[in-house]
Amino acid sequence: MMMVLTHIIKCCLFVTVLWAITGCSKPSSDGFFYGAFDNKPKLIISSSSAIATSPYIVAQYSIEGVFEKVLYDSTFENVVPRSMVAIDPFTFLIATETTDSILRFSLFDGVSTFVSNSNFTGNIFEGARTSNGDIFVIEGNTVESFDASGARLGNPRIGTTIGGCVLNVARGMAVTASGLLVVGSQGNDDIQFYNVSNPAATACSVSNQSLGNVDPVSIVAHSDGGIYVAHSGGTDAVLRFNADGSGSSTSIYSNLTALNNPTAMVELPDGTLLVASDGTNNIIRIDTAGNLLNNPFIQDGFTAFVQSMIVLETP
Amino acid sequence: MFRISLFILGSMVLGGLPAWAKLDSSGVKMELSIGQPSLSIENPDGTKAGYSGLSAMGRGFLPVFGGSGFRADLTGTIKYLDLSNTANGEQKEYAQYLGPGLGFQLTVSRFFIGADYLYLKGRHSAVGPFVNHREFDISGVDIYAGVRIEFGTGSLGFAWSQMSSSVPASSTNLSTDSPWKDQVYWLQFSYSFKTTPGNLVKSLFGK
Repeated sequence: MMMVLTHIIKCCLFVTVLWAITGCSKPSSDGFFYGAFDNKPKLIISSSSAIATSPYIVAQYSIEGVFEKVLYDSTFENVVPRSMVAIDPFTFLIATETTDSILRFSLFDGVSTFVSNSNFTGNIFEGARTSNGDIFVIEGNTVESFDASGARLGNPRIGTTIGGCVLNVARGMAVTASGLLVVGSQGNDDIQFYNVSNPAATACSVSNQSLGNVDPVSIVAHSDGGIYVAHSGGTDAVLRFNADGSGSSTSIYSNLTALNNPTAMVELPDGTLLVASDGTNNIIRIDTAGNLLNNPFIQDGFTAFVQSMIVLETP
Repeated sequence: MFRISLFILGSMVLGGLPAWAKLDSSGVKMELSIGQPSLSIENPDGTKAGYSGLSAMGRGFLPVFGGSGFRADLTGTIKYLDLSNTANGEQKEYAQYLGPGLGFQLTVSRFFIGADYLYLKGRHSAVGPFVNHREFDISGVDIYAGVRIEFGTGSLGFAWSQMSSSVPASSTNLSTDSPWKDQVYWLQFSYSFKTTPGNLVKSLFGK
């Protein structure tokens, strides 16, 4: 009987120790289960509106254009939020001017520094992200690049001149479905298409010089395969280019009464385009056939000078 | 891998202990288990959500075949998982799963293997900057293996189980189903009625 009891006690002790040891480790977690959330797409706007009490704002709207909340107010720090790049349904990057940096913003945990680099000091504008996670941000006449951890790639990744592509006051950026990086160049009125598949050897794929004497401002690689470019100068308009950069553009929408000095553009999940119009202090919605659907789509204190717009949606 | 090694080591030690009682090869049994679950759900973009917590399970055994040192049972199971997401930050996510299952178990000496087909009702609650509540059903096969030592009418066991399933996209508004995988280490206590199913029914309802 005593032997049986001794063995039972040993057994219990062993199992207890085993239990305690196996309890020391937790399953790894990248984050949350997207299915637990409402999964409604969110429109995020960065603004430096002069008519708002707090001009430097990143704000969240519903996809129907209803204001939901201010995510980040950098007015007090005098930090201008410029471009935004979506990372996942709850995280995006904000490239900032005045204090040049890239901030990481989590809808769960707020803002933190992603990149603070001594070589990242020029005029910061639009950004984009390739499918392998590399981040690209316009800096003056060049394009800086960072990997997913924030480490700088290249010196810079895209210099002023690469082959036939010359950047002169770069503005507007997008990544096509085939992975080409598209960058607008206001100084020479070109749209440059780069092959960025090899970080050590960026190549000029196409330099489209058919734009004429206008200034590209914002570029969208649309889900329909087209490259849409909003430009100011001349008659402000939205144009459509082929995805490979070949050929000349087609004018989609032009109406100075509704679209005056465009500053940012984004595709909504339904394929329509939002275009921020600085001259009319609002955001309009058009379709790719050139029909004006909403004027304004949003007009409030933050839409006088929209710097960037992105849509966060669950995959 | 570390846990699996520990499990195998534990099984060898428990399996090597001397026999105190002959394996009950024909008695109806009930078993209660508590366990430490580790759940992983994969999002459509490849990121994973990890969960840990506590689990409990009840299982009934209906012997269908048995002999010296061997028995086969049909089993009925109820499984419960209480979980929280292991990602840190202000946002929290909690999950519970509960549901029944049917299966079988084979026992040779102190070792057993088995499988249950489980139907679980799940719910995930997001608390923090985002508040939401989502409910869905999942089903799948829960396989398990373990070692059990008997003493009198009771037994003490240690087991590992794994269930794979997927959360349907139709329940989450995501573009694809989300692969769901749960592993649990169980501490199990069972009680044998030391009687056949027929005799147990007679003793409960007969004279």
